[in-house]
Order: sequence, then C-alpha cells, then structure tokens
Amino acid sequence: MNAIKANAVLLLSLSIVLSACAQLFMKAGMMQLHGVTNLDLSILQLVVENKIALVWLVAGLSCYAVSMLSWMLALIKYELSFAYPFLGVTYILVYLGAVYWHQIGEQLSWQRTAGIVLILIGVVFVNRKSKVKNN
Amino acid sequence: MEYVLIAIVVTLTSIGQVLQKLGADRGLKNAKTMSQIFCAMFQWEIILAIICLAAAIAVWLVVLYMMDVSKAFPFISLGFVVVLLSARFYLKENIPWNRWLGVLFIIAGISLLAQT
Repeated sequence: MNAIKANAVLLLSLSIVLSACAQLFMKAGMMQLHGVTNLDLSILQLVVENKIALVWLVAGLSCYAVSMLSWMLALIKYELSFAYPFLGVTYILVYLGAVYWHQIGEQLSWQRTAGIVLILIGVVFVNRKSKVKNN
Repeated sequence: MEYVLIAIVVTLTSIGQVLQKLGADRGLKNAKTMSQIFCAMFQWEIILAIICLAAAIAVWLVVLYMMDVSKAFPFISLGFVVVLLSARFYLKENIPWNRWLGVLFIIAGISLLAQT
C-alpha cells in the first residue's frame, strides 16, 4: 500500500500515457481494414482475420487494461476531483499522436485544436472542487 | 450513424465508471496487501464494469474505423455532461456553478469538433 502511495504520481502519468497509446494503437489497427461497407460489429470478425490489425488491437487493448489498473491504484491516493483534470492531457496526446505519428497522419486543423482546448477547459471546470458545501 | 455509436459508448462507459467507483470504494479502501487488492478485482461491481467497458470498446472500434481518432476521442468527454445531467435531474443533486460552466465549455468544444 505504501509503495502505491509513494508512486502515485508515476501511476497517474503511466495511466495517462497508456490511455493515449491505447487510442492510437486501436486506430492504427482499424486503419488496416480497407473498403468495409457493412459498418456494424461484424467488422470485428475482419479484425480477427487480419494479422496486422490484430497485433495493433491487442497492443491497444493491453495498454488500455494497464492504464485502467494504474488509474484505479492512483485513485487510492488521489481524490477524483484532483486526478480527473490530468486525464485531459490524454486529449492532447491523442491529438498530437494522431497528427504526427506517420501510421495515422490525420490533419491538423485550427477548428479541431480550438475544440479540444475548449473541452480541456471544460474538463478542468467540471472537476474543480468548488467551495459550495453541496459538492 | 457514428454519433449514435458514440452515444452508446458514452452511456456504457458512464455506467462502467460508476460501477468501478462503487467496487473500488467497497474493495480497495480496506485493502492492505497486494493480494487483497488483487481480490478486490473480482467483486461483482468490477466484473459488471468490465463487461460494460468491453462492450463499449467493441462499439468504439467501429467508431474508430469510421472517424478520425483526433475527432472521435474528445467526444468521450460527453460522459461528464451525461453524469452531471443525471446527477441534477435524476439524483436531484445541487450542481455548483463551476460544473455547469465546465459542461458549457465541453459542449462548445464538441460542437466545434463535430463540424470538422
């Protein structure tokens, strides 16, 4: 327990970085599928048949699982209202990764950047502990 | 179509979050050793949370196929809006002004993103 509390900053950082990696790897995996027209869960069948897609997906899901675990462990020490705003960093990491990682290569646009900045401000405000008694 | 799928993902993850929190409160608060923490993973709340999250991920993968991840991912913040509105209108909680302000920012950001 003490080891967890002493390393809570590390656990929180690990959780943030891994949850961004999870999104990027899952996207990279889904990008391996081309020309699918029936967009429902049967698409997941195609993932299993496509080895490269499957590797990215397993990597993404593993990151997601470890991220969730380290998040829960970090919450032993930190209150949710303190920890949650840091998750906002994930939005930045996913955006930068999607744009600058050649595997994905999405377009940078001012409108998307502005939208993400607004959401970040919103996430901080939503989770700020207010001085109102009923909190 | 993709927005319907995002709504499903947001709903499932919101339910999953609450269950995770309930499970963590019950199991982890009194856990002292690593093995007790490990056992806490197998409470019904956590199992149910994992099922919700697994279903959410399956639907999310379809969303990722259809949309840019840099566009789709921030939509997950709608979870805050859903939880806040249900706290206000279902649980009749008093919501401090800063949370409403936060929700307005999130909605504004999402509206901008939706147009890209």
